[in-house]
Amino acid sequence: MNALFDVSRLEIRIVACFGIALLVLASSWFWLLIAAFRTSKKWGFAILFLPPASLVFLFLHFRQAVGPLLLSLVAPVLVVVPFLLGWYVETKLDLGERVRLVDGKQHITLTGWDKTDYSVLRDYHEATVLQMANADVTDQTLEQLKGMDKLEVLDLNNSQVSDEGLVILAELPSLRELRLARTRITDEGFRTRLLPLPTLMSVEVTGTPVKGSTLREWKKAKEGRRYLN
Amino acid sequence: MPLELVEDAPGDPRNAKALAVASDLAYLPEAEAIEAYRTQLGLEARLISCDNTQAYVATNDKNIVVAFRGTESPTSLDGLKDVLLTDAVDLLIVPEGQIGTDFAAAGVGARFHLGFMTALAKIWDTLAPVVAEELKKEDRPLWLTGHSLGGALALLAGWRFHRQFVSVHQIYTFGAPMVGNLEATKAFDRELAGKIFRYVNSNDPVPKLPTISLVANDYGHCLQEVPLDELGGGSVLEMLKQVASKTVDGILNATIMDELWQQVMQRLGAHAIANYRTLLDTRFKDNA
Repeated sequence: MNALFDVSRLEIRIVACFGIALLVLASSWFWLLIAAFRTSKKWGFAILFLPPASLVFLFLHFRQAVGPLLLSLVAPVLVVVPFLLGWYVETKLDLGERVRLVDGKQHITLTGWDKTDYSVLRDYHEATVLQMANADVTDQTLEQLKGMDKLEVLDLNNSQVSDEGLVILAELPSLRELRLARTRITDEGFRTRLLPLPTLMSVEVTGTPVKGSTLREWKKAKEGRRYLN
Repeated sequence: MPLELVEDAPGDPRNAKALAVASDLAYLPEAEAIEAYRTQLGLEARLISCDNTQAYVATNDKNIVVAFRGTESPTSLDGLKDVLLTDAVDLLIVPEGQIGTDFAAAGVGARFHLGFMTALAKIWDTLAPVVAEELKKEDRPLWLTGHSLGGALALLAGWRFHRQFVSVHQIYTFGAPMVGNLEATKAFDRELAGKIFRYVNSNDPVPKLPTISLVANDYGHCLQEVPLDELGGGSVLEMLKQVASKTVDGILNATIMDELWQQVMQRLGAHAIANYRTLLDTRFKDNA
């Protein structure tokens, strides 16, 4: 998941933040110079030609110098914050399961997560939508779906699911939308397991050997069916 | 010139030319646009408008084209709204609700441009039924296109149509900015493989936006870039170097400032849709 963090553009951000920090430092020094000249011409020239004199000025005329001082403190913050943010996003970006309630229905997304144990699905047996388009999903993984009676939308794109797995999918009573793009299913499997399913309304089988004629036959059998191939 | 779209030739320059015209016409007000779509492309168009997001659904008996309007000139009120409420809101997010589920399908780590996502969410509930109705009338190839912000919306709409099992034929964008992080764009390349054609004029700064987001999460581009070189080798840094070499003792005199300004204006002009059309016309003269 390191790809989330593109190093090449990190440089641009760092340069930009350093640039702004420099500008802030410059303006705080300019402000201090004005404050010094307002106090007296001597202080002004002292700070202009001998910058360390500003430290002495700070102690003797704290009230006049406190504004520029605070402004100059913004600069280190500007440099540090993007690093902290970058670190935070990189380490804390949640790559666990995404669970949301949409119109009272449970939507689960495991696509692209950073875990490998699909037994967490036991906690989500009420799910209506399940998206797990991952390469490590196999026919065995689908055992976890048994008993998910409310499951209407299932995304298994890019997985290792084969005709064997379709046996389990055919037993899901509410299944309406099914994605099996770039999986190992065959035309034969689609015909025997999915063609007879009355609830199924939308399928995606891009990158599989399922034939166009099979899909057209399936589509014709019920009004409103859609497929992507 | 009637619309000429070649269904079985992905990324064909003829398609790019025709859809660049469609993207250009999307900037016109309703009455003028309908007339122009009819006379220039032979398409019957209708405007879908929600707040400050607009798209034309333009059809004939062979094709359905959805052309999204880009950012209007920031000197107009609508343009100012586009810039402030849509383009500048470049936080990377995943929204809530059904649209959130549709885009989370790209992966739990995928994040998208908040402003573009909000604009899409606004127009979607009106746009999707119109497209569905057209497809029901007659199943035809669905083409999505747009310039600038319109290109970004075409990409995001393409993803959403695909998630709703509406087959998107091809997507052509011209000078479009980035729409999401690397995880998101990888998913686009995987799920809409071979359907996205992102035309970029190398002098146009907009496709390099947004470079810096508030949150330190990075933007990425879909892979299929079609570069259109105009001036040749002209990065902004290169331009500054060239100008700097002409300064005497590092002093910027009036002529050099003029030249610098001219160069900057030229680069801003590089983003204009008219410029993309000219480039496509000169580059692919033979295919016309």
